[in-house]
Amino acid sequence: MDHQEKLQKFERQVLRHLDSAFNLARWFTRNQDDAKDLAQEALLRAFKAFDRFEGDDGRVWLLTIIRNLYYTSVSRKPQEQTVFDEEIHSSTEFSGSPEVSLLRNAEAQAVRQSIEELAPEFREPLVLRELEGLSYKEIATVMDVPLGTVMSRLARARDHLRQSLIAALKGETGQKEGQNAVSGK
Amino acid sequence: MQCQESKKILDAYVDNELDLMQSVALEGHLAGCADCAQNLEGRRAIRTAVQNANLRYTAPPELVKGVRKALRLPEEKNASPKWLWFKNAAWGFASATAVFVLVAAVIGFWFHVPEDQKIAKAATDDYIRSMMMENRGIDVASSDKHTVKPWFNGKISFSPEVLSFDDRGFSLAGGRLDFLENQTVATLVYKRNQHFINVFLYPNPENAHEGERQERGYDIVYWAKDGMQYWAVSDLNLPELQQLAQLLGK
Repeated sequence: MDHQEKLQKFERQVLRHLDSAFNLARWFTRNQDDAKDLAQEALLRAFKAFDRFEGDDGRVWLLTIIRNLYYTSVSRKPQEQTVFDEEIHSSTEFSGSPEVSLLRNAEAQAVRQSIEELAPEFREPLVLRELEGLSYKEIATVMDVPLGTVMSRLARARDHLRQSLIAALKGETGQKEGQNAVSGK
Repeated sequence: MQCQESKKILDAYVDNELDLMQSVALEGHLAGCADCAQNLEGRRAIRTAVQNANLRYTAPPELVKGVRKALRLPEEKNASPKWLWFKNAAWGFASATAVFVLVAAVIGFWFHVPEDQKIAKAATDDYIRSMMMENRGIDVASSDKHTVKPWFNGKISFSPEVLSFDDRGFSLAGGRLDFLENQTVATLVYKRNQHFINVFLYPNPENAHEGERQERGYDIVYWAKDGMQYWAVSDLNLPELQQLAQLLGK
């Protein structure tokens, strides 16, 4: 494959998912400049490794690179997975329909902030599902976890999101509580 | 099914990730359990809140530029020496002849391209162009079929069937006019999660086309029904696109 041909193929299969890559990077880093650096670095690495790319889904491949790069670049490890795998997802009950209508009318800014405050291992599947529209199987590939883990993480992510949103929307200073619950400390 | 089990798969249900058997079992439980039904409503409300908030970031222009610049850098090196061959007149003549034969062959081949491939290509062009336009090229933006359908009145010589499938995860985003196969066609725009689907339709096709194909990474499903020809194009995965096609009567 000569360079020009490789470039064209890369553009068609990978580069067109730059928005997805940036979106995930932006939600990981929570910062515009860091996200730009992360996305650019990921694209260059993807191009270098493109000869070895044999799959058919360039988007999932690129998102996986973003994720790995994020966790290595900040020398952060994804949280111990067993903690979440084995724990049976226990969702707290919804206290009734006023809460439902409160949630439905939530301000975008409040939603954004609540997601940003989620721990990364919950923020990631939520962003991949709700903003990128990935299937559970695709999310499992990106995060390198079993399908069941995707399901339980998403469930818990929505639980945490619900708690912190409700706290924020009720105008309480309940964010601290939500944050503690989220980081699991 | 018990509540504990129901809770575990509730999110997968909201996300359309359960198989039919599990869905039926869960729905059976939900019908008799107010707590779980309430919980389901709450989960749907969170989804709605997140999706309505428009939280997806897109790559800023300077990033697009930066990446492109970085990728094209090494390409300059290997350009010129090959062209020295053409200083030799004989080689030049032979090459010109070869190029001419090749071009003729390509043109000949082009005229034998099957018609559905040509239309699929044109439909994909329309789709890509619309995705780059403001508001995804939608002229009448509405999720209400009673708004979209009348909009076509007087603009085209037929009245397209406009359906919405919110409950199946395909919401109507609007409509516009397009040009396809030498005629003006109605385009319905559907949305599924972050993906857009364009459905082009026109009446009395010269030849009815039916099938599926891929064009530059996009999937196309097309079929004819009740004297109307449909072309559905999207960056969605094929099974989901087929699902919409079936809802539309394929």
